[in-house]
Amino acid sequence: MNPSLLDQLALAAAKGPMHPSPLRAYTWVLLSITGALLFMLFGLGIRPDVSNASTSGVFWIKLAFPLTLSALTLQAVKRVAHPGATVGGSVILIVIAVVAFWTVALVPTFGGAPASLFQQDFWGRTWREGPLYIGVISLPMLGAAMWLLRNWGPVSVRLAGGLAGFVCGTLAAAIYALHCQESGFLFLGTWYLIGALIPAAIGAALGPSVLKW
Amino acid sequence: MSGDVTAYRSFLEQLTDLLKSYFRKRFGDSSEVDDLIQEAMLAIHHRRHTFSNQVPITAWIHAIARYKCADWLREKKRHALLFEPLGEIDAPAADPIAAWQAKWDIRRLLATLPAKQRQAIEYVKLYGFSVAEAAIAMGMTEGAIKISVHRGLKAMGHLLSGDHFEPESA
Repeated sequence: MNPSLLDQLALAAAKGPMHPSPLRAYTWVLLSITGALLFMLFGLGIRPDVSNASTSGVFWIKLAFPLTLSALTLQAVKRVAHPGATVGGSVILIVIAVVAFWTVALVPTFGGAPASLFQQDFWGRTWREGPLYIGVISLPMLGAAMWLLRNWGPVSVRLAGGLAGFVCGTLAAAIYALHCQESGFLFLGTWYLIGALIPAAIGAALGPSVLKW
Repeated sequence: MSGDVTAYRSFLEQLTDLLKSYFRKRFGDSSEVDDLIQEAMLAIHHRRHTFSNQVPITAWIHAIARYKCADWLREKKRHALLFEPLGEIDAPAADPIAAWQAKWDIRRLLATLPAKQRQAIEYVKLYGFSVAEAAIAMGMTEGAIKISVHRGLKAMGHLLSGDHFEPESA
């Protein structure tokens, strides 16, 4: 390594940290979330019974479940963006949250509720469209997330893409919850999750090419 | 990592030494490896904002070096410089530089194998001995030679596919 190169680098470093602008990051995040919200508002529409529904606990759980996953996954993304940090622990937390939700959702079933109730809770009426809409809503956020992550240093590019995609997917699920009229916990635990896994799969597939540095 | 030009300058110097030993231990000494070392150093410089105080600095540097390692091997594999010439090493090569590169690459890969496998491949694949001759030369049975060659080639193949590459254990 020639010494003059080191001098140049040292001088360049002294001129200030080469930090990606946080302001620009926030702008991207806000714009993409706004885009996703607008699509939900004008493409799908808020559920008509929203004022009634929002007095029920289920309405808020439908928001809280995906948003909890978003928050947990965001922590994992932060770690995966920093070389040398371990990611396993934060991924396990995400899995624990999903398993815990499923356990609660299955309480009625094991408590002897009729099978027809399980069927109704699990399939709902919109299991075909739910995951697809969640996938579509997540796309603007996925674009922004991948773009932002490029500025950092993920060494496991596939995992990083997948986790970033899952953050966007769970955010999209929370947005979709404002439209969706399902109320089964099993429905949330299954179809919301599958919807959130769509951008996660896209992110993981794009990771090696988009996040390479 | 913050402020001070001279401190950062000396950090870069230490970093260069560290990267040199890291990559040369694995890939030997060549201008190609020097390029790789420089690239890793520039990556660390340009991504210095990805260092956080929660991670030990050596873990941070190693993670980046390992990433560059895997990336480099993957690129080489993609350009198919490595594996193709293995069978034709004795054939007169049209391009002497390519032939030299291929030889060097194979030597580098062979160096990572256990002695028995390495010798078996050298006898049978590089020096053109028959399996029977190699068996006599190495004092092993023909079957053992075949197995060693097969395992050695397989290990080299694994090493070339980035997914299985684990420099820490090298």
